[in-house]
Amino acid sequence: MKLTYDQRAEMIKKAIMGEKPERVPVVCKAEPSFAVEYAGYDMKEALWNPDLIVKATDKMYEDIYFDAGGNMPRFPMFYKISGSRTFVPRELDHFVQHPEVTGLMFEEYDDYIADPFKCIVEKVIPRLYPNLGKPGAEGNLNFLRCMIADNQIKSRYLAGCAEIERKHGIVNIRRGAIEAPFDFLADLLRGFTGILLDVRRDPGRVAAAVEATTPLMYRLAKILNPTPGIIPSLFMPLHMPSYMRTKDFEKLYWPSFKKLVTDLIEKDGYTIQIFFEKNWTRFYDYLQELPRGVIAYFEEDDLGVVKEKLGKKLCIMGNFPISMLRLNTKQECIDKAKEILDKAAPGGGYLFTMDKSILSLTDAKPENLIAVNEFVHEYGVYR
Amino acid sequence: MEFTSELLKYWNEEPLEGYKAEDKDIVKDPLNKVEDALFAFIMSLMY
Repeated sequence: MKLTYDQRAEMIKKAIMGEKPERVPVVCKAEPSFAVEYAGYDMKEALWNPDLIVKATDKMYEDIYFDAGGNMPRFPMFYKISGSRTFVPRELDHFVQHPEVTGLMFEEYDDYIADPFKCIVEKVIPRLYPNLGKPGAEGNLNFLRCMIADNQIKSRYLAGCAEIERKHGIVNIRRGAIEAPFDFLADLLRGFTGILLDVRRDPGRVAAAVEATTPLMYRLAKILNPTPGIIPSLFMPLHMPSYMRTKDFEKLYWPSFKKLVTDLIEKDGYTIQIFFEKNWTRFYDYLQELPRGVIAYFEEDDLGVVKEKLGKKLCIMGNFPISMLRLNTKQECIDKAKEILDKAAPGGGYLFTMDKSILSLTDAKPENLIAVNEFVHEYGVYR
Repeated sequence: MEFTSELLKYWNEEPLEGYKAEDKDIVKDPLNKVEDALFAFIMSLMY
């Protein structure tokens, strides 16, 4: 039985706020690239023509049960024009990949701390996007080309998605992505290796840089998602904590992250879907301090334990291993889904989804995904 | 949790160069929205 958009929106809102909806909502983590392969389109052509991604997603929603979705693919045109060194379309099909980069040199920390935005524009962007840093009119025109490309392709994609979401009654639960301030400093500025070195050799500057980053993330959230409410949520993927010592996490990661999340939820009325990448077991005591309004999306954590430790306040989701969709039988996948639902669904405050995004047909057999989502929809009924 | 940057020309307390204080109600929001879009675009390059 397919539900209407309004029925779905209502049950998703209840789940996010920790209440018990009529059913467990099924959230789509199948990426547009999966939909393109599933529908049989050429990847390169689709990544340059958002109408094809929309058509592919239309077919995916026709065949596979979902209550909620929401995504934004990386389009290669933008990265080709900018000469990007950080998001790089691969030769084969222009699917965008992310090599390790260092946008900010260690000796530039003080410039960043003094005026992060200025430092990004003047020092980091020319390094990561050389075509934008070309002198004179050429660099200026390349900036304009990128803005035009971004605007043209995303507006077409979003309009198409809105149309098929209306058609299938799918609720878009995500709008706008931001980062934890420490992750922002780590990802494209200092890089994975650089930031971990900095934490040991100059934690004071790292702390100051993280503090300087926090207001930028706060401002960005409010621009990208100008209408706070239960849905659509902001999205925040967390990258570094599982690679950090707990004492470094406590001093350098947690304070700005907690303040950002708490302010956005309690002062501004947002909800935030936070992707807790890898395993977060040693951080549960910290996470208990987060407010209701967090959709805690876990990758490796056992949702039974998560439910017990955090489920009174946070809505939880995730942890169904997509590796099973690739390797196991339909029945084994269904058994795993049942096991997770039995642990995580009781009492509400739960959304069903995978442990990570499904990028391609090699990540998941479609027949397994279809069977699992149908099962969750039928079995996940609150009585 | 506000931030400022030498490169962003937000109309905050004082009128921006080239505008009169009495134009505030008409021009402040449109101008600040341009700065917001510029800021968001630049930041979109960073993650």
